[in-house]
Amino acid sequence: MKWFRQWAQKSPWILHYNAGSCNGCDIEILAALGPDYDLERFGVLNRGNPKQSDIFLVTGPVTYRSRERLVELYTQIPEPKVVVAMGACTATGGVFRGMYNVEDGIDTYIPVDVYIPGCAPSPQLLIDGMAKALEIWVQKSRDIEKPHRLFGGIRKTLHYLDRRTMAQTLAQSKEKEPQ
Amino acid sequence: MLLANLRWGKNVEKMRPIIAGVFTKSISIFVIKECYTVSMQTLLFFLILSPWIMAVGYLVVPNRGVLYGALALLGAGGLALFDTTTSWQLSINETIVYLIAFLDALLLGYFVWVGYRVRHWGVVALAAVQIVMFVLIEVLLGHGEGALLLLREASQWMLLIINGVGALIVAFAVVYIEAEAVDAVQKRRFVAYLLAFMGVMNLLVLANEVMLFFLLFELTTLASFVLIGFRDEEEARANALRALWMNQLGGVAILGAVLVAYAQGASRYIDGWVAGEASLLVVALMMVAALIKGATMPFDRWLLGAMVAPTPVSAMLHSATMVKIAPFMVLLFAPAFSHTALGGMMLLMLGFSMAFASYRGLQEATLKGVLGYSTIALLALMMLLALIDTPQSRTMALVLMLFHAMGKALLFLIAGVIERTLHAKRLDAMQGLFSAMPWVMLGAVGALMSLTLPPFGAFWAKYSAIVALAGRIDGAAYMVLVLASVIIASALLVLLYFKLLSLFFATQNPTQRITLSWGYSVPLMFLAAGALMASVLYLAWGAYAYVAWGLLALLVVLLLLVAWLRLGFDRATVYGCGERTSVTWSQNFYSFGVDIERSFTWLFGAMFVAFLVMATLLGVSL
Amino acid sequence: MMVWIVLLAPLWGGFILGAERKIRAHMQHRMGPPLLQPFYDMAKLMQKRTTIIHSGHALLALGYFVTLWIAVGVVLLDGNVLWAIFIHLLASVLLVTAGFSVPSIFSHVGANRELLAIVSYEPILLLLGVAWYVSSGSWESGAIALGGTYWTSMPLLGVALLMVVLLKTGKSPFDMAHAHQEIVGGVEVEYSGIFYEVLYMARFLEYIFIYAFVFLWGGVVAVALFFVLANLIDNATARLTPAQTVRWFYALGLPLALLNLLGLVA
Ligand code: SF4
Repeated sequence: MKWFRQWAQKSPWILHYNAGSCNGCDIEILAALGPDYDLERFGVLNRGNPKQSDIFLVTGPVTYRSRERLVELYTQIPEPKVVVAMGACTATGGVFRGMYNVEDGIDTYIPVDVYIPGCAPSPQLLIDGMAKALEIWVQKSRDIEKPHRLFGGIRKTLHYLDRRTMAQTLAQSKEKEPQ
Repeated sequence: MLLANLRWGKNVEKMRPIIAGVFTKSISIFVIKECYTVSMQTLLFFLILSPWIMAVGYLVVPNRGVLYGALALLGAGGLALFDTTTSWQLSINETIVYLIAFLDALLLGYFVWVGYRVRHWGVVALAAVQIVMFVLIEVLLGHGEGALLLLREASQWMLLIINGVGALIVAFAVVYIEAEAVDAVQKRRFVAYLLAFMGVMNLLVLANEVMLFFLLFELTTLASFVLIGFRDEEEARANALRALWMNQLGGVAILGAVLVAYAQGASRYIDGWVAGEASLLVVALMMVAALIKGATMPFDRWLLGAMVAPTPVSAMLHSATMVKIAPFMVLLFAPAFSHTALGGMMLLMLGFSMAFASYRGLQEATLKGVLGYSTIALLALMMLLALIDTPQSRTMALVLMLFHAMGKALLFLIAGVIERTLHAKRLDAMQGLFSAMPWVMLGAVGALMSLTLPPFGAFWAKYSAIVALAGRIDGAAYMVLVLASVIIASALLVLLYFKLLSLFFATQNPTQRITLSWGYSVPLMFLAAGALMASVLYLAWGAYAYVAWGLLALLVVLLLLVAWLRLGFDRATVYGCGERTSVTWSQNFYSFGVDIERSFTWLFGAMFVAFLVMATLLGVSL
Repeated sequence: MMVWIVLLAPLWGGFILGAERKIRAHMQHRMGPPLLQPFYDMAKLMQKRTTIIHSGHALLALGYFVTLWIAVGVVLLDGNVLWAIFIHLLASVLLVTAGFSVPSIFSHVGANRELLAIVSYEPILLLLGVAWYVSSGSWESGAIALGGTYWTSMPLLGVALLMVVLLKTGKSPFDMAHAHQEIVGGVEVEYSGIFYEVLYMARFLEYIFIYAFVFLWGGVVAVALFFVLANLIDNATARLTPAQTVRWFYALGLPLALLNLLGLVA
């Protein structure tokens, strides 16, 4: 299990979402993916699909139009997931702070794990932030992991396969609960 | 090494009694015993006569229970006959010949009257031509000695298809027609027509005397005319007339063949013609009739027009009966010309026709239209297999006929169900059907798969067509073209069938569940189970039995799992870029453009003319 | 030996995919991910929580994977090549059905494109099988391999096969079916966790399947050459639209295959 987790942390797939940024940060992300910094050597892939991503990389100060999408995308990423706020805008609103159409920073909507400062942050900083995000990701995946028992595995598999069993167990456990 | 142990087609013959046995038992043990103990002749007469009796009986006493019982008997009869391997024939006698001539005359007179009534001079002219030829034949041609009826191997398969599948279609039609906006007498008549049609077909596949064959050929034409025009609408009438005159052309071709055969000193018996009495011209003329009946490409219009009829009619015409005459005729005549230049030309026509029909289907917007074009394509494949004329390809043509009959009948009946429950004909209106009737749609998916993919029977036909053509490819460069068109057509058919699914499943707001009445669902279940069971039985003796069994087991397990299991994972909404918008889907259509299509139409016309010219040259030189 | 290749097919496929990512990175002057990256990805996907749209959708992906494995087995274990192609077709159709079974736009577009891809490559593969039959007299892949390589007798079919390789492995210019950032991976879009992992491994199998054909055509040299060529072309070209892709296959690939077959027959 140990080396398995070591393997698992070598493959952070990112979902990049532009919540109204000036595109400066996005260009830096592309630069980081390019030959000079080569983010892919850490196994990073830009998936563009929340369902297969681990790291939610957001740029921009969250405009009114993008709020719902931001939350929707966040909920569609399966756990464990890490949110990285890239750039000053994303952290505080940055140069757009206080504008009529802008929510200052994404942490008013979703919990953020890593803030990368700068307007725009350099690719080195981005890589740094990614490393930090990975640490948090590993921690989170350890947290959600349950201990497996030898024969419990069978029951667990049954649970996975059959929703009815699941519902029954749920009902039973509810009965046991003191009202 | 591992997989090459079992060779293809080793024991193809073995499956027939097994299919017959299991099917029959599944219907009723009592019925088997009855059928096995009666003599073959009784059984044949039962098959020939009982549809007529049932038709008349249903007109007089429209009792549904009795009809169902009789249909079950009829289907069992077809199956029981399939089991027997001995041959049978009925010799000709004087009275029957005069009776046939009398009925022929009556029928041609009726055609003239029909044409005159609607002022369609084409029909009248064709009927007049036929009458002239008919009189000539009756004056000139002696009767000779020969078999009036002949039970061939192909006839046994045809009887199985006609009675097995046809009975289920009629059982469906009885319920279907209830909801039609016509009076009670018309409804009874509709069922009676279908039954009579089965009677005609049962006799046709046994006919050996050519004027009897002509009579029955024209009777199917008549029956299709009546059934297509059943809904008394402008379009239905026009399409019925088109079907009439196009099929009359086939009748003219048959009479022409008889005259040419007379001129060249041949008899009037089909088995004699095939044995070498007749010249290539005669055979070619018979093939013209087959091409028209089989709606091969220049003649596709009538079959698509037939879609205006009530759906059981489409099912009856396109899956179980009428169009199957075409591959049946090719099966009869293939030994006489398979390896000539004429046969090569016809192979080319059939290959191109298959490819073009499956391409044309991509532009159809109605479910029945798509099914119609795919029927044309698969008919061309059946004729092609029959024409290749190796023992194996002949068997495969018959297997394809059986599987196509079951799969297509199932699809047409499902189209009928959709029409009745949701009042939808166009594909666009069929969104989210899966949530409305999951089992029916699973049946549709299964039917689509059974028509194209391994390990089902229709796939074997496609496969062995490629193998057989590859076997004849050496030194015959045009075979490459035939082969390429079959291959392209099979790819296009996959596209055609599976793009249908796009709308069936897709919906954002699940629709109300629809429960079907037994009258609808039982025939569907029988057809689906039949297709599956025939596949299983067929597989047991096919090549690569392990792989095939594995695949089938996988498919069945998968389908059952899909239908039953609710996986315990959490459900998520679909990804829409973070947006939550409602979407309406539409069908994809594919086309190369009108110009190319038009040039293809010309190509088919030119090929047909070339076929006729070749036949004339070869026939005269004999 | 072949049995092991088949039984461990996803493993070998993973190595091929890893090597490919490495090579592509080097072509772009990057270092690229480690060779074992596909396995890291798989380990990661196993740690993720799995969500599904509905069970049919998830199970069809499993069906696709298993059927594809059978197809790989048939072509590698001396089976009939036509059979292999058709079982592969069955696998693809299961995937298409899965794609259509969810109310997702990207999934539908992807499934439609997958069907167009089938229409494009299948005739060429089948014609290749026929050409093998004509020159070696057998449909079994063992006998075809015994007949030597086919560089000289089927050069044009080789070109057509290269096009198929590009399409099947999702390379530009024929990568319309899986276009990331355009339709977000097409039919794959709604899968996550272990079911996405199944699809990810199925991709390895696709590699093995199509490169088995390349191997039959021209031995190990051809596999290496096609591998490099495919990545070069992938890096050097832009994606074509579905219509353009079909047109390329029917205007170039198919005529090439037919010409070659005519040459063999005449
Ligand atoms: S942080 Fe700076 S570069 Fe990034 S989006 Fe905001 S304004 Fe643009």
